[in-house]
Amino acid sequence: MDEREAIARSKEGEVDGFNWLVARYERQVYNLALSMLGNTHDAEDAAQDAFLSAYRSIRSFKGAAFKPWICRIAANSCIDKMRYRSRHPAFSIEDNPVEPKSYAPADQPEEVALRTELRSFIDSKLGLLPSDLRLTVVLVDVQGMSYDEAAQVMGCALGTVKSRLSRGRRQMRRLLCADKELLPDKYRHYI
Amino acid sequence: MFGLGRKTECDRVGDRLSEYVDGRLSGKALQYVEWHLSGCESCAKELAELRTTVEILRGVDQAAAPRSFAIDSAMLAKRERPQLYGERALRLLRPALAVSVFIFIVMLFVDFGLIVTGERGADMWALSSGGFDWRFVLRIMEWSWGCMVIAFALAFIYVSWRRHRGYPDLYDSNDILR
Repeated sequence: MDEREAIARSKEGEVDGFNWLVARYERQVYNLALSMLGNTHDAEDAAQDAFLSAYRSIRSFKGAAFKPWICRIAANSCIDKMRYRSRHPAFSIEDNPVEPKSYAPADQPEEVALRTELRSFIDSKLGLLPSDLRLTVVLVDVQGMSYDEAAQVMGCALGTVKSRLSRGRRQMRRLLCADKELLPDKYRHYI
Repeated sequence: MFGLGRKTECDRVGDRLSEYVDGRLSGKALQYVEWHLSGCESCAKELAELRTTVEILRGVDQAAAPRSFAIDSAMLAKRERPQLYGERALRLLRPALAVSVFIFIVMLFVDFGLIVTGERGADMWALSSGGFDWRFVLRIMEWSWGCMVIAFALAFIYVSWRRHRGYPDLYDSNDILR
């Protein structure tokens, strides 16, 4: 099955066809949610909501690329979650950093622990950015999307992506510089 | 005023550094940034830090999905889209408020027209309607319509305020998804 066929089958209401797309993009959607929300519990919820919303509205999908479309739904789902969280602040025992088991099993435990620590450090700093700048930085730098793809996801002009990315990166630079002693050695000297 | 809000050369170059890091500058913009960087230590330092920031962000490990997000029919049946508070009410209130405000403004204009034309206008109205003073009816209508507009506006503000405070997460429970 290829993506086009999976989309066509999903439009006919076949859950299996849609689940093929879920399997293909779930990692990306989950990571987008994790970077946006900063904790695994909310990220799982947002990712699941995104896929359910996507399934419900797959008939309205007319574009050629599924990735920006599902990422846009995921980003909206994260923004809803953030809005809800800001109205209902509550301590959650599941506000843990990403567990090492999420990474490649071949890695050394020490290496995994360092990467986990770095990821939660970066996620905590990303959480300090305004949501529009955070989304842009996450899409372009963390997810590795092109400017055009990011513009499609955010539904804005290319120039807006450029300016948001510039502001987001500059703010991230300041935030990382402020806590540079928490960075790994290889980066500490350059920042 | 007093130079506030005016961008310095470093600010202008700083705005383009992000694109410069991604290799998206060309022509005169690229030449300008490179020329500035060759003579400005603080911007060169900022560039180095920005490059490292981007490198760190790009090096963030992608976590594996902790579980499958595949959907099934039971999930579709149980997990409803979260309905924001007042979504339906606002869908009705918005056009109702807009239309009623518009009609109210038209009424005010008509009334204002009568005031401007004065007694002569009122006499013409009275003559054309067989001696009946329509201005009195118009005022009554204005008052009642105005009350309705206020009621719509208050309802709109109340529902928007409740909605702004957040909505109940209808499915945030440990149900079949876990």
